[in-house]
Amino acid sequence: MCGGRRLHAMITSMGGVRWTRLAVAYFLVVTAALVWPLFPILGNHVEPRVLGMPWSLCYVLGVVMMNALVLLGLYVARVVDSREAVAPEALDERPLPHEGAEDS
Amino acid sequence: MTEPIAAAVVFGYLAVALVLGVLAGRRGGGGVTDFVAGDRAFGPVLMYFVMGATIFSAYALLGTPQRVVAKGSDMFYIFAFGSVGFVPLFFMGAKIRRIGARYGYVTQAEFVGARFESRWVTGLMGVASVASFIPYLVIQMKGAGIVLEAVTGWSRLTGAGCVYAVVVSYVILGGVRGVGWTNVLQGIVMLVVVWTVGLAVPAAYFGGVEGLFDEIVARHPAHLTLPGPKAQTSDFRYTSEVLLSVLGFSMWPHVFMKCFTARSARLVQLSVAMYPTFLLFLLPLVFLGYTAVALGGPGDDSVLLWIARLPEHHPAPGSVVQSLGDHGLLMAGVAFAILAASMSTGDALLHGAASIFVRDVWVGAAGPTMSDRAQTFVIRGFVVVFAYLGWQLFALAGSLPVVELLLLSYAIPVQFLPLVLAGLYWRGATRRGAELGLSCGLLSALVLFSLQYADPAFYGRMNPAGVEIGFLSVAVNALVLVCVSVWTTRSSPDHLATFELGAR
Repeated sequence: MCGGRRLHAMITSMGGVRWTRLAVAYFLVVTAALVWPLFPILGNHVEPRVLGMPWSLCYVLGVVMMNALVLLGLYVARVVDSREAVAPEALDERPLPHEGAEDS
Repeated sequence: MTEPIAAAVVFGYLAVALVLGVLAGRRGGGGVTDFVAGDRAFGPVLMYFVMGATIFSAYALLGTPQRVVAKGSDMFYIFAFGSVGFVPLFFMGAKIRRIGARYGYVTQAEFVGARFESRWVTGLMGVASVASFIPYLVIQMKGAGIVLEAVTGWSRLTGAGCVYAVVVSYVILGGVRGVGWTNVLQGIVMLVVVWTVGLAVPAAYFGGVEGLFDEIVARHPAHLTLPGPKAQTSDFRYTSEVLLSVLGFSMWPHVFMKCFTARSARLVQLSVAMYPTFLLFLLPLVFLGYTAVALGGPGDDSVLLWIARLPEHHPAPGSVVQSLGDHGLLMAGVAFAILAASMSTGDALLHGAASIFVRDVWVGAAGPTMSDRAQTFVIRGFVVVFAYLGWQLFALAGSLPVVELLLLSYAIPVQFLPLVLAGLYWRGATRRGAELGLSCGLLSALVLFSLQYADPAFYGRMNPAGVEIGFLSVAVNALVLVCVSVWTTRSSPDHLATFELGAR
């Protein structure tokens, strides 16, 4: 997890909230790439074939794998709200979500 | 017994699932939090398989190759929505788990109703959740019935009754732990069998996946891109299917409530991040679907069983598939996997429906005081009630529009999204807004569904673009929630603070 800690430190120094917003923006863009009008242009073709499979299938599988890697990266880097439960009395002492709580 | 080896495997598996489920249930504290949320102690292995196996149902296993045969690449929409459908839980799952652990929430409706301080919201969400589960449960029973009919020759109703007697037993005795540990077994079975059969069959008949797709490109190219064979799926239709599924996927109550079972908030995020690896198990089913296209298989939900009998009508001498087929192991494996898929979803639906009905509708909305022990007892009773109800509906399935009801089921979970999002991130969302938004959304879905079923021509004129009912009704829901919230009084700052909505 040493690499994860380094990544976390780097991302925290750049602002965790900003990274959360970037992550949300990334998933919105990816969702757009899976539907009209981008999917017919980018993904709805037979060629090129990869490992024998048509491009239309490889395209969606590529998105599945890319999203898995991005989610794992976000998990390791702890940039999206990852705090654990605290007792109710300690609640007021916690940073509020909009004040950078996502930085954990 | 028409398939003695497959029948032996199926009954052996049912016995193992029963023992495993019952043993798992003896480990917890025994209270209602243990029965419904496993004392919030599920570790990474359990969470991975619970999330994955719960979602992959008999419908996915039987329906994926069927959809490839009938509609070609339209089936890829499952990969498309699956790749992003769980992402909302990555962002809000940790918060949900934290608040749930702090204040003792174990169901989705309980959580949302508490945020809006509304018994109406809790009760309505509970009723809608249970209503959406029932057709889905009938489909799982159908999967189990198909398998038992194929391997024993029994009627589908008897077969489904036999399998679900086992499921009911381990859900009652094991609670969510029983569901969880049997899901581990069922998940492993599904992954191993589906990948083995999915790679071996194209290898036997086409020399591998590349050969299979060479054949499809040459003879059935329409199956590889939209709009598919007979131009059934327009870009608009495909987009609508993907987006509606993306919005509703993480809102299914029996999936959402698994956030409360995780050992930690971080673990919810890890489970979401790992989920796409489970999604890839659909890929071999795609290969099997295209094999059926190339070899002229049926276009109904018997495709997978047709594949299991492939060596009988399309011999492939010297291949692994032929050898497995000759020994009855191909049918055994496929039957095993379909049963695992049916049970891993059916158990979560039964457990979820009974827990939600008692916690949200009976106790949460109606409000009688009931001890922990009494709640657990009543939930167990309702597991039996819902299983019997599902089985009776399955018996009537020929005269009931189960598939149409399933479409209505899909329009329900998405109605919870505006309330969950507004409840977690918008201080201005009010009780009245949530109550009216949810009521109008669900009512719109019901009216539009009835209209579509009763008078398709009129409905077609009203909705010429064919926008999904879920979309239309969730738009009504969100609009009403926002407009009413703006004009009504919000909750107190102290209450909002308990949901981590601090003052701005």
